[in-house]
Amino acid sequence: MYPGGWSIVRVILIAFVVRRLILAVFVLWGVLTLSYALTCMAPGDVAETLVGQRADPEALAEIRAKLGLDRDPLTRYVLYLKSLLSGDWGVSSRYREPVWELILERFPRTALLAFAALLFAAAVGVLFGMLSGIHAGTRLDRALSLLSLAGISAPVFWIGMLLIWILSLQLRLLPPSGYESGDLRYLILPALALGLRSIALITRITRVALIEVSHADFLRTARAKGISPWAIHGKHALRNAALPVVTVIGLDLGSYLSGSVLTEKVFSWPGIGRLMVDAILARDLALINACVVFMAGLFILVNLMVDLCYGLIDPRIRRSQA
Amino acid sequence: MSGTDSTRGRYRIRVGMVLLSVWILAALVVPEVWPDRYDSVNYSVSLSSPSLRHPLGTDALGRDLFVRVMVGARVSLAVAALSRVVALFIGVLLGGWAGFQGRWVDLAVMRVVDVMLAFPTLLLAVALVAIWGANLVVLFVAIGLASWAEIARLMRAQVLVVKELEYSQAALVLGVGRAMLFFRHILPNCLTPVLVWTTTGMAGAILAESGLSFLGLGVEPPLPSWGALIAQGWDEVRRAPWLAFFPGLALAWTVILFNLVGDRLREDLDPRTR
Repeated sequence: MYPGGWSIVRVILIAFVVRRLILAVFVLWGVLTLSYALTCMAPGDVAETLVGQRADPEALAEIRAKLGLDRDPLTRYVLYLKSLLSGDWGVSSRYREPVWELILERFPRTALLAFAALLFAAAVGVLFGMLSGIHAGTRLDRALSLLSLAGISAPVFWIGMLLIWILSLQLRLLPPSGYESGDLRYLILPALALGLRSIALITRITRVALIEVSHADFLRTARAKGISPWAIHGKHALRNAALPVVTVIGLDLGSYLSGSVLTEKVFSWPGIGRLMVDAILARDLALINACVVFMAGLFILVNLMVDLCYGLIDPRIRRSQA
Repeated sequence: MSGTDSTRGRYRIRVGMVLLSVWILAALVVPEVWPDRYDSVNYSVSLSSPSLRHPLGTDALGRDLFVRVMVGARVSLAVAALSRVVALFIGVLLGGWAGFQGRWVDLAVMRVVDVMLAFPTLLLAVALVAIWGANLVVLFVAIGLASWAEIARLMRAQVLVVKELEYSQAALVLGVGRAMLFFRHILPNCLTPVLVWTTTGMAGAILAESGLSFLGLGVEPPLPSWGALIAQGWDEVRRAPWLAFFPGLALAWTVILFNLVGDRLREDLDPRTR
């Protein structure tokens, strides 16, 4: 693309990524420390949750000593960090399985839901946003604006309930909740419910971006050449709207991947969000910490990828990075 | 924004404000004058559908849903508002301090902000409620603690701008103490955008409260909140679908109003959209 300039761009890009990754390590360490502090504050005895309340005192003492629970919190924290660095993230006290196995088992389902929701949201949101932007100020525009305001404002679990009530309890079109591997019918309702908020945001942002560029010179030229409005907006204006839209999709992806707790609960979707909430309620400390680090790590990673996407979409940014 | 648009914006803010005030007033007055109390059980009218006597129907214990939704409005709005106070207090002070001091304070505070932003908000609130136990105070403190980071970031950005303005520099030259300079001259001039942001934040806080209640971590029964009412209503969806529907409608409507007013106020403040 830039003959001769590629190597410099590449070096700067790599430096940018490395800097962000180093920063990410610190943020993750902070997240882990916060999570650890919170789990330390939690009432209840970890040893008791492991062996049950009726275990004899000697067994309890033995487990406490084995887990290091008889030492002070700071020593425990250091020991915990050491074991994490050696790759030992512990075993879930609730499921009696290594925490990473649990996370890796649940995560693909959450990812499936997140991608389905965002794919749907991006398609509908960009379409609505274009309709709204091209017909700015008309009744259609106002109706779509109102609709997207409602989409942003309604709680996702309530929307989910409405969808279940209408589409599965009344019309019996789709299964109300649950998860079956490979059966996409279970995916439709949760993806709709989860995607609705993103549709609303994407609609708004596409609309604003289209209106902002609609006075730009290159669009006036395109119009003067007699290109149809949809072609103008689809080809030229939309590219300028891509940046904010990608930002929204990226941010939502980051939060959806870390588990849409409420959606997963309404639809009994066995994803990572529910795993985490169940872990918190069951005081499953190892699982909580691992989940938190995993989610925060994903969130940071997705944000970094969004930033890198900017350069791909907008050559101006690529040039300014160089 | 053209003149007519701006006028329409002002009009919408006013309409939004009036509707919000009416709604809050209703939440304060209605439960006092309504013939039923929110916790008066009457099995003879269990799960009755909406009627003149019970405009939104009754729940499984025969409690009037209308008065429960109105009391729920009090609870949800109070939790949301108090959580904003907590978030504002922490966010304004920490963000302001970071922007004012600069250097390592700024670096340290903003890294904490990064950590808070990377930590899933709802889950943080869930964890705090799980640790301290669910009650009204814990609820708003937890939501506040989980959501101050954005306010801090905004406040810091404001302070960075304001502290370079001439009147701040003049105050500094005149020998005003640093604390005085910060609290008297800089902080008040940074607050407007932060407070506007809080309007939209109310919407988020109401949603957060409903989410926690839906997960079973809300206020203790029989005290209703919108989220708790939706969750309880859902248990009876096959027999009485209105039980989950109306509280959700009340919630969505309130959040719409807060978003409407907040968006418009923000547009008014932002010179780029004018």
